[in-house]
Amino acid sequence: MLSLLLALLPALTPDAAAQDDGADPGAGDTGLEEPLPLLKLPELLEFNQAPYPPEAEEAGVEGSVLLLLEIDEAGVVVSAEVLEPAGYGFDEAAMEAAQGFLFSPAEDETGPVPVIIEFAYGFELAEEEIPVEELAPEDLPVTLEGLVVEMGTSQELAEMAVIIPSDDPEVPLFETATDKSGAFSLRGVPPGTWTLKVMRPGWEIREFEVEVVEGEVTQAKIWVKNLDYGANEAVGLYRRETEEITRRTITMQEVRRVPGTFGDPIRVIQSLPGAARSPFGTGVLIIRGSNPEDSGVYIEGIRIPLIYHLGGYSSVFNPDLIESVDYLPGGYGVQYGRTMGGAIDVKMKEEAPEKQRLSWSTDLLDSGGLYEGRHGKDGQHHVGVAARRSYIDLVLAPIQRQSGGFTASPRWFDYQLRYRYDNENPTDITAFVFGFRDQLLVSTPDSFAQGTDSDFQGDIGVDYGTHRGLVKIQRPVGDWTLKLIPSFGVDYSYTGFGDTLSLELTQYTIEVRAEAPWKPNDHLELTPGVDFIGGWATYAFELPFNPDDLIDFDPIGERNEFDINGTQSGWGPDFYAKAAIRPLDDPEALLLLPGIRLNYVNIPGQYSILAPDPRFTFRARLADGMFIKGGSGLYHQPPQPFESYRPDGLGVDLGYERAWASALGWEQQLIPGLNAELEGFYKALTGQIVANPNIASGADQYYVNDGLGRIYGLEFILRRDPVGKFFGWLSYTLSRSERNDSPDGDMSPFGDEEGWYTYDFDQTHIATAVGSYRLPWEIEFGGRFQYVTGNPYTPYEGGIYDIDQDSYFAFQSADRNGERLAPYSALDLRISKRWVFKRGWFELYMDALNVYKGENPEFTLDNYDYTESRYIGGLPFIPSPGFSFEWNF
Amino acid sequence: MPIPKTPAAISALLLLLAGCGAETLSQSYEIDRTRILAVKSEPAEPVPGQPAQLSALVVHPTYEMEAVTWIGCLASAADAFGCDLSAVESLDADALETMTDEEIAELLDSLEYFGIGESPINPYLPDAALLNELTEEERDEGLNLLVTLTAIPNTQGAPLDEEIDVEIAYKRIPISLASTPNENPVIARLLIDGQEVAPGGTITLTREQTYAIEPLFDEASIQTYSFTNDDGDEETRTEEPYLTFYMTHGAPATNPYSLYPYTTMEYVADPGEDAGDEPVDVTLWIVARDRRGGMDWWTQKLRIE
Repeated sequence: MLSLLLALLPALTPDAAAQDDGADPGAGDTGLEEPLPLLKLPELLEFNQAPYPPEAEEAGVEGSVLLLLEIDEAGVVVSAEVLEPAGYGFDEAAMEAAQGFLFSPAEDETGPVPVIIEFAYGFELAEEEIPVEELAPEDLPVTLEGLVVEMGTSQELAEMAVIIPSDDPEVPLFETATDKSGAFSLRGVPPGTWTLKVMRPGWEIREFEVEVVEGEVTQAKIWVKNLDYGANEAVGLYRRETEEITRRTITMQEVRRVPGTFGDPIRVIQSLPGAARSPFGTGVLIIRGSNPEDSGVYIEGIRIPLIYHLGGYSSVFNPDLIESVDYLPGGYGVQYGRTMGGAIDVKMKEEAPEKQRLSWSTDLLDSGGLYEGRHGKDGQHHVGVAARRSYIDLVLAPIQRQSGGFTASPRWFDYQLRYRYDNENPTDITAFVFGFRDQLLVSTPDSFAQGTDSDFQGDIGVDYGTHRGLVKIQRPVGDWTLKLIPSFGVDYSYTGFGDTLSLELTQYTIEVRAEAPWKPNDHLELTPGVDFIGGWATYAFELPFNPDDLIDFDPIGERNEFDINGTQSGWGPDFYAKAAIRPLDDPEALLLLPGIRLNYVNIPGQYSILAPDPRFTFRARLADGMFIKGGSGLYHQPPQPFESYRPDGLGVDLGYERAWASALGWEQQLIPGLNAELEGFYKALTGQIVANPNIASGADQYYVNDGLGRIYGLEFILRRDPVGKFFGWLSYTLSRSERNDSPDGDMSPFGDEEGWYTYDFDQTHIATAVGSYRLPWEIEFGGRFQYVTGNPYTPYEGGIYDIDQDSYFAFQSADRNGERLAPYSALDLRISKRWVFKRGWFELYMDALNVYKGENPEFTLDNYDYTESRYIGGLPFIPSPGFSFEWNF
Repeated sequence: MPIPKTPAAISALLLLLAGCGAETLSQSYEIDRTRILAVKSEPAEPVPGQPAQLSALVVHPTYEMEAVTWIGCLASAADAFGCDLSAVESLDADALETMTDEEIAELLDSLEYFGIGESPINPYLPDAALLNELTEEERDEGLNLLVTLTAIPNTQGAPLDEEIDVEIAYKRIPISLASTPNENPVIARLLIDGQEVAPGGTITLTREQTYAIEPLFDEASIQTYSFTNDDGDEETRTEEPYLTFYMTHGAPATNPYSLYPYTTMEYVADPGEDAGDEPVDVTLWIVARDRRGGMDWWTQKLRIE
């Protein structure tokens, strides 16, 4: 078999004789006409193969002969001449063969023209045909090829081992691995029936019979079941190389398997160290003894007001669109501001999966669906849509949940939209739109309405929601990466009671985040950034009485309706700069993270305040798998809107609340997949906003920055990573949170002699054990046990009767928060069964909350004159069945 | 700009939960200890320098009152718990024992209290110059006198370990020079299941039956009045008296209160778990408030057989 090399060079000049067409010989000084440029070159139509010269073949010589060919207007070779000989008989063979060539003629603007071209005729010795049995494996022909695809997701799987085993399990007959597109090919598999075995840790071992036929390439498509669905969604286990000394990243795989959390990643946080149990039905975040308002919840760094729907059982975000949830109980970097407690940052998935995906889930509380897919010629449009609605109101309506004749209709709804344009452009752009709405209507029975003050008759209505749109833009520029996230949002809330009491607030927020990390080398990264927030709010309050009238003891019947409304704006650009310094050659050995944030907020007509936040954290490896970490920093938080209200509309003298937070911790990898962490923390609070003790004497503003606080404790976690059949963790938090509202003693003292008292959200001991085990047949069983010290409260010690208002004013103990509710303990169990199909899966599960029916008092209820009280328990045993499915196409 | 949170839903949810446990706590309509249910001034809105009769509805399921002490002060000198009694409490009790009533009154006048005694000083005479320092508009509005009552039952003969319960209550009495002063509402009649009840008698009821208890007002006592609101506008309002029901035995089927014009309470004649087959004597009190300081009450004896 000969292979020939052809080099067809562009025609150099048309044949001068071919142009002797009677052109004016006087044209030009030379007497020759200038050739016209060729519009078409000659193309070889018929090749004439020359026999290999015996002399060259015997000598084992290869060669190439450069010929000069003359081609006429018909494409026939009229002459051939050797320009560069090669010897060995190559020249003669080439010339003879070339004269049998047929070309398509060259053309200029007049039509076909004769041309002279150079042509290289090459001679290569054919490879000796080796018998198949003597061929090396890599030279054998492919006889079996195929694709390995994951069941349930239809995703092609790379790095899957594909073998044809032999009698010796250690030595397969044939073996290969799938490439990035999931394809594999096996060479030299003889005809016959063979058993293919596909395997890889984390996937089931699959055996598949194939029939290899002589002269054909057998195709096979093999579906393999993942032993850990959702592993692809894992964003990493405990991220050790992070900028925050305490960042606990949850994998979606763990999220779905933790009992009692309804598969909600944000609820899982309440099982981690540092997160206190939220009071019943509130869903507030209490992180390291802080006020819920002191912690921030972010979506892609953009703050949102609430993270849970009504009742605190479901977060406002569909978990299937969440890439990761970062829980930062303290010591977080300067990119987060305006908070003193903790931070939760939800990152959304930006890319749609390669296959289109449709999923649905239904449980006791709500149902929701999700669609994701790539569209466009190159799949450059990544689209994701999700929505969810509760239906407790639909279930309760016929059942009529009776409580003194009241009926309740709670409901919520949330939605998310994602669009990403993915092309060759280095600029990444992703847009998100999301929002939610919660409503609760408590209908009062006629008997209650008829018997009460007309100003307090009627139904109780609560309606609140949030809508946000943001665009995430990222572009590398040399050593820099520019990141920009502008966003716009609306938050609103409405509370109404009857016809005369209503509180309505609508807030429009513009927030822009921008960062420009610069990484000149592996040891240094500098990031300047800006976190701008601004907007305006409209408020309208209607009350059946003026709050000032209560102080003056006006008779009830002569109270005046009271309403205030207005608009308030505010803005604040916070600038920050942070660095990540890795001074040693080993980047994991030492990481230093200094940073500074400049906080500024301006509420026109109220106040304008500025404060710096220097922060520093570090992380160092003491030994293999052992790290020490720590940090200290200042955190400023601006006043809440209601705290700056003044009846006379004048400005208030309020400043930032401050916290100086420090922490020191140790991390140890005990064995691969088993890690332990211990961290101590201390936080000193100053400038806390508390009730103005002078308000009764005619002072103006309701709040002042006089309060102090201190929070300290230890957090421990022992965690088994989600590899293998079992995962879980043990966590324990020992902490103390105290406040002092009047260190100068202006108010009647509450607490100890100096005014310190246990804070409302103090929970001394929080112990949680979570575990989940995967049984055969895709059955999973898990449990979560939690023990929490009861919340503190201030008991009443009787009361005095106001005859006009027919109510008792309670005497409250001076020992503020001196009593505690009984400890909380609950065991939640979960069992699930999944059926996996080729293009999807279906899962049934049962979450059982509070299995042993712990009474778990949530708060105390006092009788009419505060001489008796009893505990009111939270939810009893709740079985919560559900199902979900996913289909990929 | 800080983003506000919404705690309203939390309150609404707690309201629902609270209803779950309320029935196991003692209820306000149950008279099982000393209670001060009402205080009335006649006239309801006294005039400086003119006498007013003060009376109180003080009840106990078993005992008569050992003592009901009255003490008054200007509302502006009081707090959410009534008159500040710390000055009285600081007095030497032994020294008080030897003082005459006049000496005690003089002493307490110096402490800026009004009236004192085991029963109200009747007739009570507001100081004629009380409103002299006020503007005409303010005089029309008047000042509130706050009277604080302390009731101690006479438990002679009671078991030694029985606690002596003391009830403290306060009431505002507006004193003004209003051209159209407030008047007390008047419960003129009582119907039980549509039948009018003669005042002072005892009505026999069948145990476990439900009866409609309907007090009826003297319509002339439901006043239409002018009121100047905070914006300076004059409004015309009609009183909506508010009724509360109290009982030694039995229970309301729904609510122990109602608002005019709905005045009926559904009463369940339940003698209680400890009652045998013997008839049980019950006292029912109905208190009316016009919510402008005026009050009235009706006491009805019942017998559950």
